Amino acid sequence: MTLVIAGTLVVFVLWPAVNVFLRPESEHWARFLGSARLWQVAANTGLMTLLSTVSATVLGFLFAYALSRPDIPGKAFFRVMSVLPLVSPPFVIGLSLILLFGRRGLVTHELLGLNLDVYGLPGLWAVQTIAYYPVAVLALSGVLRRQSPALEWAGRDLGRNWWGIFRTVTLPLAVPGLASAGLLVGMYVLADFGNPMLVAGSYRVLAVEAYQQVVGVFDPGMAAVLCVALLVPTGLFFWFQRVWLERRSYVTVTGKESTLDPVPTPAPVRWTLFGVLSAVSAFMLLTYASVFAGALTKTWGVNWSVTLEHFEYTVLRAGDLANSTLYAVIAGFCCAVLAVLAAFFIQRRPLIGRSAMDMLAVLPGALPGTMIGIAWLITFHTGPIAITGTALIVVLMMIVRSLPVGYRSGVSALQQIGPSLDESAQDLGAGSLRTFGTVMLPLMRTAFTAAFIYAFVKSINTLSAVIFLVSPGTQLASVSIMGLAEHGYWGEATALAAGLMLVTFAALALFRLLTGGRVKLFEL
Amino acid sequence: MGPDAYVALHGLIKRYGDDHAVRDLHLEMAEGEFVCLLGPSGCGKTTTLRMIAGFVEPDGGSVAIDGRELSGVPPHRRPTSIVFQDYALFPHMTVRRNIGYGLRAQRVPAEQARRRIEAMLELLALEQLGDRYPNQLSGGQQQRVALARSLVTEPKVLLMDEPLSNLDAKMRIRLRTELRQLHKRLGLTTVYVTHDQEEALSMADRVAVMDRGELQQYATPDKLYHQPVNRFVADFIGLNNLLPARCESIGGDDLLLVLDDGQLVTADAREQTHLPKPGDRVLLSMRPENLKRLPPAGPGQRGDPAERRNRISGKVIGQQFLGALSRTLVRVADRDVFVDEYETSGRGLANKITLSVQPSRIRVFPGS
Repeated sequence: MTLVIAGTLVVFVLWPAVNVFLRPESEHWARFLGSARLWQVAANTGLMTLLSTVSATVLGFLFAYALSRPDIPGKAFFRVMSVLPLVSPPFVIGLSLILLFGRRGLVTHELLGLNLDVYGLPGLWAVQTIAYYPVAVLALSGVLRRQSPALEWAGRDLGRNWWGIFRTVTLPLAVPGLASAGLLVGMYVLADFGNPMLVAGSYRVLAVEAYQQVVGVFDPGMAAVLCVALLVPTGLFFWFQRVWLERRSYVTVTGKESTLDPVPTPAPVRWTLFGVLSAVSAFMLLTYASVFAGALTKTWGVNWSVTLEHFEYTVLRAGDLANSTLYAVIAGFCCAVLAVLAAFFIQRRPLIGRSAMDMLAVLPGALPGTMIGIAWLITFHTGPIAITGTALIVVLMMIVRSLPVGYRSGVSALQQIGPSLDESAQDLGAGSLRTFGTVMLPLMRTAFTAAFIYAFVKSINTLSAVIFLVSPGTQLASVSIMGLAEHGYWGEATALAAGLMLVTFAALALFRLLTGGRVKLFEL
Repeated sequence: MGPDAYVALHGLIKRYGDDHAVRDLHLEMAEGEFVCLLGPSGCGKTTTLRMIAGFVEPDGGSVAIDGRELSGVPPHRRPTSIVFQDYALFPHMTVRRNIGYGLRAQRVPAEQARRRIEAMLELLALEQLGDRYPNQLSGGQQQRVALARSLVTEPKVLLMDEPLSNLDAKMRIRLRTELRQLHKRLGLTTVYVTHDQEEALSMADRVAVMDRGELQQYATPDKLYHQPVNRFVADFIGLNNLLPARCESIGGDDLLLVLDDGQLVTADAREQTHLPKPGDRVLLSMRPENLKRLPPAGPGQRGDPAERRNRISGKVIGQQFLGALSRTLVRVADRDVFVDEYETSGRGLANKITLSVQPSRIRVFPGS
């Protein structure tokens, strides 16, 4: 069993990743380094990533801070709002930005009569901020929740007011968490493909450029070079996080759980936070509403009459959404099985190269989707495993892309179980697989369910990697939406996006129903 | 009220939903006094401390320190400073900066602040550790830093919330002595919350025993041990034998009681806070060390007459060797009674045993 897992990881994670480095020839490198245009693309990517990361992290901090206080009104609502973008395709934000503020946008053109152009950096910046601040909320909530309220009370007791505590205790303690959240957001923004594709216009970024090299010029060598260029900052982020943050992380030295409530926030702070959060949430609601409105509108910007024909065309007649759902269910299940098995066998069985295996299992989470997509295209197009164009490769990609999170939740579930339990099972004569099946699996059921639903949600919304792997018979909704939007079929594109979101929400509702709300997908 | 009320809690009430965390609490402390709030978990002692610190607003009653009423005064403007159970040291600051934190808030000039910090480091033997971070310190050292951080702000009242409970047993006993000595030197009014009675009895000038949000008894450790005012205190403080009985008659100072198996016991009526009427159900409480074993030879040639009057016979059912003393488990009137003796040599396991106790050593409480 260990061998099977190791083999899977080597073939589908390590091999393609290595191929990206091996594929380009020196001529490709020379062309990249000598091209002023590509340097401009790299600079664009850097600027866009920096701006979006800072704004998304700051916004994320405001949300996380407010959510960690008991006295902020409307927390349940804000919590939902900050999870929503995580469970819907990130590119719907870009889609709706065009609907609302584009050349024929509802707000800019219809209501204000402007001829504004959102395409470009400002639009992309705004979209990425809204699309990825939830990542920061998720990362920072944990950090803020772990801060003992006693620390703030101690500051209070020693003579500081709210602002004094925030400045000297809360914020400095959150700095490593902020940096870590920022890096995470940065990686997402850097790797994102859908939104730049939709709203960047002539402002080219690396992920889109790599896609064009494959689809437009069909130059996989050059695409691989761009992937490496994309990987360099990702690698730096990772290194930075490991080396710098490890040293700066404050092990909170507290022993027992404190029964103290957090320090109350003064009314002006409370209502300012409430105002900011409300404004952002209102904007997001508008965003999602516009997608559904777009789906029901005959021709956005021209003919505002209501119609169901887009839904009929995209959801009922074309098979894209059905494909997406089916593949995501299969991938979700396989991923959960693999993740939980991998966690058990890598963490609990004697294993040579345990840390290497561990790294391979989480690696796909750190690699940009575009890169993995191109890597697979290069690796599995010819050679011993030629599977491009099949449904199998699409499902496999979904599994591998979702594996890191499932694996991690499996590992953390294992950490709560304690090794003596499976040791005693073995002591009583159970083999590895039997131990797993009879003792570990029941205990890890929660981790399994969470991995399944996470993998499903991620798989049904995934775009950047699978866009290189789909073929006419295995078309996915997310990929179709990009194509439809590119050609200005807003009605169809939004209808499909709406369908995608409805399926996701239905799945989440079902999940909630099945687990009785006990299992939380996101610790917020 | 009275001149000794440096800290005065009057009618303090705190409710969480329908539960009373603290119910109508009256407590006064003299300046320089070391007072322990003692009780099982959930008795309201920590809530009381937090109301003094200003972390929790009481639903009723008042807190006054040095004649100043503190209702509505936020924690950072109160003349109190608290040492937390988990110390709550700022992990991103060195020991020096932790200690100086309160001084910066008070806008103490830098030079003076430096001097006061150094003095604190010296006072608590932390001179070598000034530039360390909290996670580089042992539990006992962290505890001292937390104390220094509070003391340096020169509070009128020092509050401590189970400050020793995260330490191992040896360290606890050492720091107990250190804290007590420090208190003697500084003469700082201190309110100390603990669930550890040994800690409370050994450190406090006065102990306030609390249960279910109510004050049970507020007295010196000695009085608390020897003269508990009710059944809860008698049972909670130290080891005690509680025997149900019925009041037979009261004659002069003699309170005549009948155990459930018919044996007669006399208690001294002058020692009681509660005097039963004849026919009332009562509970006798007797400390294990006050029960004496009578020689089997029958009504003794030795011992004082008072002791000889109270003869309780029972059956030995066990014996525990506890080092300095030996504890015998005796079955009396269907109850287990502990008898502690310091002389442990050469006693066989006699099946039948006769115990005696001085009437003045018996406490009587209303029975259930």
